[in-house]
Amino acid sequence: MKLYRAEIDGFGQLQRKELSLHAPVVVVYGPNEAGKSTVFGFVRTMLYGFAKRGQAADRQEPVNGGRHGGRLFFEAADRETYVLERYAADSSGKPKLRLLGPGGADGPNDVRVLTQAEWEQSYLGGVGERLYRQLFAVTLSELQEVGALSGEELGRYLYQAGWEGGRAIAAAEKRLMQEMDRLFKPRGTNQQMNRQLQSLEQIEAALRKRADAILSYNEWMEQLDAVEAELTTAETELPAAEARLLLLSRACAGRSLWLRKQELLVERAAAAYSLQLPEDADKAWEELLRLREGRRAEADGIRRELGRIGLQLQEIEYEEELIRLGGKAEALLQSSERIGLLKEERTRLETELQEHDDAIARLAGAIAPEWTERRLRELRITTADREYVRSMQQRRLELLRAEERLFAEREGLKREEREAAQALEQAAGALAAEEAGQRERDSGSPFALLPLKREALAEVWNAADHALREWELERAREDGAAGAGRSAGAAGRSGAVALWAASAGAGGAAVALGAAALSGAWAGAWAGAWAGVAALAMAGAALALAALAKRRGGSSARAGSRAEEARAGRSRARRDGRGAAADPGPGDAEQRVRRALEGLLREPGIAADALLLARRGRRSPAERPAAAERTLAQLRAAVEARQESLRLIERHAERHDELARRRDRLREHGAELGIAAAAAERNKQAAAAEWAAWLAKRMLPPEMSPEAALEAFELAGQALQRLLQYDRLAAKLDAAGSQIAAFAAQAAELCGPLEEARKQLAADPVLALRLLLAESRRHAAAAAEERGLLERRAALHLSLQAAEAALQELGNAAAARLAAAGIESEAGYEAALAHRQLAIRLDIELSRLEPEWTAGLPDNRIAELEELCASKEEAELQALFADAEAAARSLERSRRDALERRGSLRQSVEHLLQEEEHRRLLEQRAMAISELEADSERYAVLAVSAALIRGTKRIYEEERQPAVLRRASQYISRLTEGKYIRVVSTPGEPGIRLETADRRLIDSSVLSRGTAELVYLAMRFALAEEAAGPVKLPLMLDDVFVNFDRGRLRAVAKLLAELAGERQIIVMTCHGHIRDEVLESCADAELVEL
Amino acid sequence: MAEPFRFIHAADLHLDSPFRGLARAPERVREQLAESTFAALRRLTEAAFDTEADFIVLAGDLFDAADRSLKAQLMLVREWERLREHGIGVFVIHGNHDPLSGAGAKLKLPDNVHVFGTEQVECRPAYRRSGELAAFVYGISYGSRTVTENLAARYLARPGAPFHIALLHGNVGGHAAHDPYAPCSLEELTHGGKGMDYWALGHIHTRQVLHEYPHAVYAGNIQGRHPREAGPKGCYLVEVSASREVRLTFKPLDQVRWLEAEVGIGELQTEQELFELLAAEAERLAAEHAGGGLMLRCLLTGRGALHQTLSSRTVVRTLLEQLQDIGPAHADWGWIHVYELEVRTGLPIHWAELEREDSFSGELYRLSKRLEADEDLWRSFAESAVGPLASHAKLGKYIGRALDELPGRWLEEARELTLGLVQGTESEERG
Repeated sequence: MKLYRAEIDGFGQLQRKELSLHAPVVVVYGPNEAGKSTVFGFVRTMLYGFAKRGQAADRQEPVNGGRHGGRLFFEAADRETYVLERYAADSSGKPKLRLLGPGGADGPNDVRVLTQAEWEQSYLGGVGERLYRQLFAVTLSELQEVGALSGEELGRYLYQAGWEGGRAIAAAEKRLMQEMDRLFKPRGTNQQMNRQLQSLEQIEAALRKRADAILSYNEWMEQLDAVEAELTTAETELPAAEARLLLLSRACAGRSLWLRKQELLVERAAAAYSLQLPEDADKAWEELLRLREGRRAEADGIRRELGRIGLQLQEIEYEEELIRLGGKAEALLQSSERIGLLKEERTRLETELQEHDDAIARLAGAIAPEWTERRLRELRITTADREYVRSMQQRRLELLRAEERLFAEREGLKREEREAAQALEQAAGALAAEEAGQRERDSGSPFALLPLKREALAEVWNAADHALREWELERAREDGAAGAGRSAGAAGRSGAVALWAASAGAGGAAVALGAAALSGAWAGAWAGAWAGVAALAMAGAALALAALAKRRGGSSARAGSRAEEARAGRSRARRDGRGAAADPGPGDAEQRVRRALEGLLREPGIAADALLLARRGRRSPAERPAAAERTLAQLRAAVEARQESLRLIERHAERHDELARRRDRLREHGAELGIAAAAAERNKQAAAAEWAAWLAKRMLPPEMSPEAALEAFELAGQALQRLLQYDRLAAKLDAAGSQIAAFAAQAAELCGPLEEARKQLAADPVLALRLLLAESRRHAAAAAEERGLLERRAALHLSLQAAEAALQELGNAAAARLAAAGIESEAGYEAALAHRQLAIRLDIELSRLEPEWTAGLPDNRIAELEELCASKEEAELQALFADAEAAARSLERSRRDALERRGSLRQSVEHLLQEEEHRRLLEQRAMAISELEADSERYAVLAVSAALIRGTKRIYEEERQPAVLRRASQYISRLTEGKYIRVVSTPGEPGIRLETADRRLIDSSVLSRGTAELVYLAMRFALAEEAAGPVKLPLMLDDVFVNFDRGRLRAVAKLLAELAGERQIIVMTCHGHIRDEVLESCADAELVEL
Repeated sequence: MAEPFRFIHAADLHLDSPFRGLARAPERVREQLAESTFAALRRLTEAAFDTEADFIVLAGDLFDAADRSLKAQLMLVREWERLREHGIGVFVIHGNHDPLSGAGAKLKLPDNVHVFGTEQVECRPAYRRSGELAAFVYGISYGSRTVTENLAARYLARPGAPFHIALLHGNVGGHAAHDPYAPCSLEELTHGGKGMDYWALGHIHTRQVLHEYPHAVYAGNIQGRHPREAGPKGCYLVEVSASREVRLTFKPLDQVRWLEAEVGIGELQTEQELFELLAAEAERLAAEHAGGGLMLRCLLTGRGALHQTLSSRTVVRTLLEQLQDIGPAHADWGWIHVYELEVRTGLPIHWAELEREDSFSGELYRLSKRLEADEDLWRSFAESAVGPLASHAKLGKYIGRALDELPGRWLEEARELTLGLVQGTESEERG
């Protein structure tokens, strides 16, 4: 690859810089800061892209403008010429490549955007940026950095610089070793595999230690068989033993029962005879006896009752008459309650009457003190009366209201009248004042008008105005040829306009100088604008003044005075212009004007002179002098003021008249109202008289108002109501009195026969009646009792007869039973009955004993049991029982034991089967082995990997590195002119050494700086040559020769010339001698000065 | 003309064998695995019922260890008793894993079972369920763990039966990957004048038919026990027609199936894509092998952009955990457990270019190629590399075989690893 040209658009301090690099050796020369390093960086950036933003020193953003980036023209290995373009802002700084035609002409116009990888692969021979920096873009600092290295570092550096990824290889090795160390060490303990190995051994030891499950199983199974046999034996013998035990236990326990049974059987035989009686004999006999006894008791009871009734009948006595009176007395007593109520009613009525009496008296008094019950009863109040009172009331109210209204109206009228009088007075005053004012104005003014009426004044003024106009027209005709003067004036104006523009410019210049200067300049400029042709010079002065103001800021006062002069110039010009006009004389029109003014003014002469004289001196109405104008204006103002004044006076007079009329109207109205008030008063008196008459007629107090009368009507109504109730109550009271008296008479009649009642009669007829009634009832009761007793005695006699008959019958039945049983006496019969009962009881007891004795036993066993009881004594039985029990117990125990053992054995076997420990250990072992296998496999792979790297490195050391060293040796020999002849690096030993001409080996760390740099330069050249592939990248050296003496410099330069045959070399320097040396030594070298 | 009959040929039951390297599997999975050999045994019995087999031959390695697990023996006897109830005979030889010298509970075997002794090749008649003689069965058991004698030499058919079945546990044809017990050549079995019609072989766990007429068949084991025993496992139903025509039908018995899913990372760009691909693959396999449990190992291969990401152990672990979280989408799949996710990916490397490249990587690659080509060179290279392992006394006991073998895959993996490290580190630094 050969660089042709670099076009820097913007990079670091360089901007739009082109460098021709079209030579095998290019010397880029420039002083410090000229941008050599920037160029250096630019080329690197073009080749390897922009550094990241974080690395500002490498990225080199443009500081003097330009787009960040540029172009690089180069010849590639394929001998074609390309242009490479990179801009930081374009395609994120990716390289853009375009093929150029022969001689740099534009070739096919296709621009390719490449990825950095493609670019490096295709055009840079796969050399990465790191390698490029280390080999092909060498600065002194890098070289010195090399110089500072020593020992192992140096070796590594050399190694790294030689081949890509040196550090990566070291890192890879390190990672491999780390992982291997973690996995396994032959004598380690903590490494993963070592640990696994340990645990594996532990597991195996544990496995060995475990008892053999199979042996246990077999043993237990044998035991189980033995136990089963035992169990079988026990189970076959047990039932017989248990049966015998049961029988014996029954025999022991049941022997007393058996004895009792024997006794019972004997007793039963004795009572057996009575069983021939019928089953219900005892019950039937008992019933018979019971019935007989009952009948006997019944007959005795009846006899006693009859005796008692006879005695009672003798004691009873009563009177018929009294019983009869009792009915009547009862009837009368029923009404006694009503009589009591009547008495109470009478008392209540009396109280009520009294109350009514009081109320009536109170009401009458309320109407009028002298009123009595009689007057009340006489009083008749009709609806018409009430209506009359109400109408009277209404009428009084209406009268009162009318009176009030009249009074109010009269008051209002009086006030209005007063106000009207005041207004009239004011109007008269205003009129007088206006007239006085007019007179005063006339006397003070030169244009005092004649005292004319308003219409007359207008007419005279119009005539004067007309005359003035005519006169003006006439004047205009006379001034026919006044052209010259006027056009001159016009020219002066247009010239002034141009001048004004110029002055304005001058003023504009002055603006920048400050506020004081500004105002002065402006004043000058305006003055110039109005100065006319003659004022041109003055305008120039203003300009000069502006210039003056520029130098002396404070001269505004002078500028002002110049402006005054300019104004004076203008007025002079005007006077000149007027001098050209002709002077006209007086005419008809003027006469007319004077006449008109005479009709208008008291002193027409003054005004006419002022008007006409002033006008005569002028050439056109447009240039009226101020005096004439003023006169006319004054005249017009005087006329208008007079007209206004006359209008005011007229208005005041009209108002005065109107107000006088109104005051008269008000007075008339006041008189009318007085008459109406008197009529109303009469009306009122008439009504009062009528009302008094009406009251007297009704015997009511004369001072009573209609409202009070209505109230009295209300009270009288209430009193009459009360009177009515009073009368009704009095009637009721009389009726009650007569009823009470009748009752007392009846009672006396009834109580005659009874002494006690008679005594009570006077005090209380009711009590007397009660006594009578009680007596009568007592007698009635005695009569009833006697009747009852008689009936009862008859019934008892009948019952007695029936009971005696039944007794007879029962006696017969008992005799029949005895006969049937063949027993003589009743006592014998009863003894037989008792025996029968005993026999039955014995049977029951026997039947109860039987099951207790034989329960659950089959017949043959029962026989056996009977046999046992009959043949053995109690003690013998007990001994037999104890033996049998012992035998059964022992059998049972052995069976239970066997069962228990069987259970535990089975459980053990089960446990053995469920045993997980062994299995767990086996699993653990399997797991540990598999992990170990996996890890050892990994370790093996790691070990092989490490071995591969080592092997490759050895290849490099043995095959590749010597080539580099050989080449470096040649270079160093040439560069040191044979002082050092060889560079040596021993594989496995760090660092490089030099061999001197006299075969001494010198370590690079003890070399002088210059020599060391020379050595590393030589090494770099050699490495570059050796490491490079098909593409020869240009070698850039940034001032790396500064520490070389002249001889070595020349030698280096010569070497460069030689190397440049195959590879473009770009040398950057700020040293003249280096530049010269290289240029001299390299025939094809070209100089680029920055 | 003989009567047609059918029998089941199974081998290598390895009952109660421990499973390896699954400490991190969930309890549920471990339980299933521990039970799986027994479940397969039960299925064998049921297969005999279902196919109405006349008898069963078992060609050795019934138990995993010489000191047989009690549980295993009891289970076996129970199953054999069930077979007896159906009148199905069982012919058994013992192999290197369960030689007859091993301590065994003196279990009483049902009378339908015959266990061949260790002294000599015995011959027993096998009957159809209906009682007719079906074949003679020959066999000999291992007396000890290592039998290096050629047992096959002792077999010779006796006249008197329509069909001859030989039970042999051993390495036929000298498979390097298996222990060389009872070695013999296939030729000897098939053309050695033995007169056998069917060699029921055991010892090698991969199902294979070595020869037909006479048949020499490995039935493989009935339940895969570790990742290398992948795929369906079971027994052969052998149907012999009246004309002595032999028909083999494979009957899967395994309760848990080991499978490997290989996924290339090729064009994949993100972990998510990879995860989805893996999940889809797992689902596909689960659907394909419905019914039981699936132990799935995912192997990532190929070269691609993801290699760099996958070189992080955390990423791989996370990916694996994610895969373990996905359950089967359908209940009838049983269950699926992804027990391992192995990364064997590589950088996207252009080998041809690398071969030519004048760089460290290129040099390394060329070195590895030379090693690959030269076995002796490789052995000496590898031996010196793994020296520390080989020289370790205790370690050699467990992994000695691999060390002796020095498998070529080490070189392959090492090459990937180093190139990945060198170039990876470099690109890391450059990036």
